[in-house]
Amino acid sequence: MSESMRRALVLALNDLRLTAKDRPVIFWMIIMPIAFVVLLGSMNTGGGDAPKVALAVVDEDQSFLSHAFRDALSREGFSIRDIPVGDIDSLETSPRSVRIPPGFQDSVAAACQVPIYFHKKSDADASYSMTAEMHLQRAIIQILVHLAETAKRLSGSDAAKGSISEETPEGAFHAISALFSSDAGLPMPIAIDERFGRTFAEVAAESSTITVETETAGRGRAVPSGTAQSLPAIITLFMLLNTAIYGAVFLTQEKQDRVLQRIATFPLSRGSILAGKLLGRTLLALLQAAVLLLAGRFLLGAYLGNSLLGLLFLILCLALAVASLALFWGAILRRVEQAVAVVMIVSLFLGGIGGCWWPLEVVPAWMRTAGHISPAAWAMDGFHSLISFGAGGSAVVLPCLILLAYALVFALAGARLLRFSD
Amino acid sequence: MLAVRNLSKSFGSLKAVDNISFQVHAGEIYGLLGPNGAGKTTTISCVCGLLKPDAGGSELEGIDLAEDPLAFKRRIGVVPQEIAIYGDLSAQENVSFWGQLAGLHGRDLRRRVEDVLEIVGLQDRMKDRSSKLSGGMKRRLNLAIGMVHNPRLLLLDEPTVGIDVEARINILKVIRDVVKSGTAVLYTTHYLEEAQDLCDRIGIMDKSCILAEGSLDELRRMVGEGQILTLRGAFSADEFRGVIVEDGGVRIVTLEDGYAMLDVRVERGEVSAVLGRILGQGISVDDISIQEPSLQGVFLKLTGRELSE
Ligand SMILES: Nc1ncnc2c1ncn2[C@@H]1O[C@H](COP(=O)(O)OP(=O)(O)OP(=O)(O)O)[C@@H](O)[C@H]1O
Ligand SMILES: [Mg+2]
Repeated sequence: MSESMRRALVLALNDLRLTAKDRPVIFWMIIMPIAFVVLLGSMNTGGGDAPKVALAVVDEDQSFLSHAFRDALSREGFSIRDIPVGDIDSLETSPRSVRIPPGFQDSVAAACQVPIYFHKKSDADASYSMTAEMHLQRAIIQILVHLAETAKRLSGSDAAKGSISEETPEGAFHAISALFSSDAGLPMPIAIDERFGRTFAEVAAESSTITVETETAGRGRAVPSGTAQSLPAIITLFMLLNTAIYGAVFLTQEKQDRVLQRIATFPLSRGSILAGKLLGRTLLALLQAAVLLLAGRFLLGAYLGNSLLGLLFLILCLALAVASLALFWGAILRRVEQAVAVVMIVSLFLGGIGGCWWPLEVVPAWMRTAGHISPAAWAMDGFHSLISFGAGGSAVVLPCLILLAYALVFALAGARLLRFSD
Repeated sequence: MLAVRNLSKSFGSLKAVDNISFQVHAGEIYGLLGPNGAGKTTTISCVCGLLKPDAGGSELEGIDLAEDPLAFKRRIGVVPQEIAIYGDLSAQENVSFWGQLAGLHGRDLRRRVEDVLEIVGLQDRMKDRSSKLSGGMKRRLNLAIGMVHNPRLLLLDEPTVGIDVEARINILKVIRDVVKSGTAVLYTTHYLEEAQDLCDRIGIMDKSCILAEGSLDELRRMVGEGQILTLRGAFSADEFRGVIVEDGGVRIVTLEDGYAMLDVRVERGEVSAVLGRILGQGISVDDISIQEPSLQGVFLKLTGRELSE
């Protein structure tokens, strides 16, 4: 190892030691982020425990089928508020509502298309509305599947036996259209009478065998949820937060205490000093990532995608980007208190618009685009490709290149602007 | 060993160091004595490469700072005026870190860290967080850091400022010992006695220039063997000038309304003659002081001011 490399390493390791000596670091780098992964992970888990999303239901049909639909909605986990027909006031205070029009049952029985109106207030929480739409679709599909199954049983036909156990929405629709098609020999229109009702209830009771998993959003992709969202989000956010804050605070502290100036009287080139500072921050970021990856994998059993190499490379690029940001902040800020405040706010903001608080898959397209000024957005794209969308390592090439570009720009700016003494 | 040549440095329109030159030899303590703002720290900063001089430069054992800064810096140890240590690290961790930065490692490093902490008398407190040390101890740690790698030239910028007598004596002793091994020391101070007691040669610095330079004896000889007569009272400058005629024996160093400083170069008896003449002419004087030739006298004569402590 060359002399200048060794000295840069001395600087880097000293920064890590200083971080370790800061007692709250255990809280900031370990306890808090892990708690966040667990908390956020359970909050946006769609599956088994369906979300309690408020939904107002106006049933203008008051028929057997409209009631069945309402029950299906409630099975989807909505917290349902029944609103009498004509109660406009109550309707207007609900963030989301569904209206079942009169003639709903008759139209369905006659195999005619009938709309169900879903309305969301413009200021309703976007992520909740996304979930709501998803569960609404599931309820509709359920009803159709049950209808078809009931009709099939009553007609004694076994034309499409087994075909409704398809587990994708497309599969379910295919199954349904097959059942209703003329080949299936189902009686059309369906007579919805008492006998039909009994059979329908039986089918509904058995329906746990039929699962329809559907989560569509954004560009038709699934919305990352559970730890698949929360782990990458918290890794990104806390790498950004802790590296930038500690990195900037130490540098401003060193300026304030004049130790940076003293370092410059030792036999190191300016380049070695900057390299040491950058290396220290990169190592800190990697340490943060390692803590969370290990905790996520072994404590929470999170799935990390198929490409470990891609994941590690993505994390390395992100570490370089946040380390450079830290160097930049340390260079332009003068005082420690300033560094804490400014860097915390900016990092939280960059994390937010970058998709660390909620998946960018649920925000409007323009926000998603604008959010990509944040390196966090690119990191999250990479993580989601690997973990949620099952892509291979090559999917992180673009995010990594962009993160490296961030690293380069901020490292150069920081190197240019850093003054060792006032 | 160290040669500083025609060094100049300005901050905007303010000339902090104006064309100064001096040399420091091996085993010698060279003192830069001057009041606040004289340009001492600026000089040190230029010599250790923290500031880029506008003109002139420094050479150490034939190595030019501008040409080979790393080789130059390997040979120097700097003790800044403001304490520069990591408060969160212990004394030992501090010295060890800076030692590594200077290029020490392994057993050498461990031995030097121990030695230097013992030299400055911090071995009992070496495990304590530096921020918890007393002001004097921090000063000593500050000094230890500059010496850890056995530099050929030690640059000390007012290393005894603001500490008690005991700690000061300790520090001065450490410096004397260091010099015995052939290390050169550039020492800045605004304490006359320190310069007088410690330094082999002294450069008197004021308003960004070195006014005179030499050993204590040389300096005394340079400004003459006379005594300094300082008078304060209710007189005007003009009134005073009418009474005192400058000749070979008496020289006016400073003269303002109510304040006069005279350099009396004659035998002891003559001071009373000069005084008698002044008082006999009815000049109202409240306070008289007579100083034997000393560094203080030299400073007074050169700058026309006392060096405030
Ligand atoms: N970084 C700077 N920017 C602007 N002016 C400066 C700077 N450093 C020093 N000066 C000015 O240069 C002059 C010389 O300062 P310097 O610190 O060298 O004096 P000094 O002899 O070390 O004084 P002291 O005994 O107070 O330490 C002063 O007028 C000071 O205000
Ligand atoms: Mg100074």
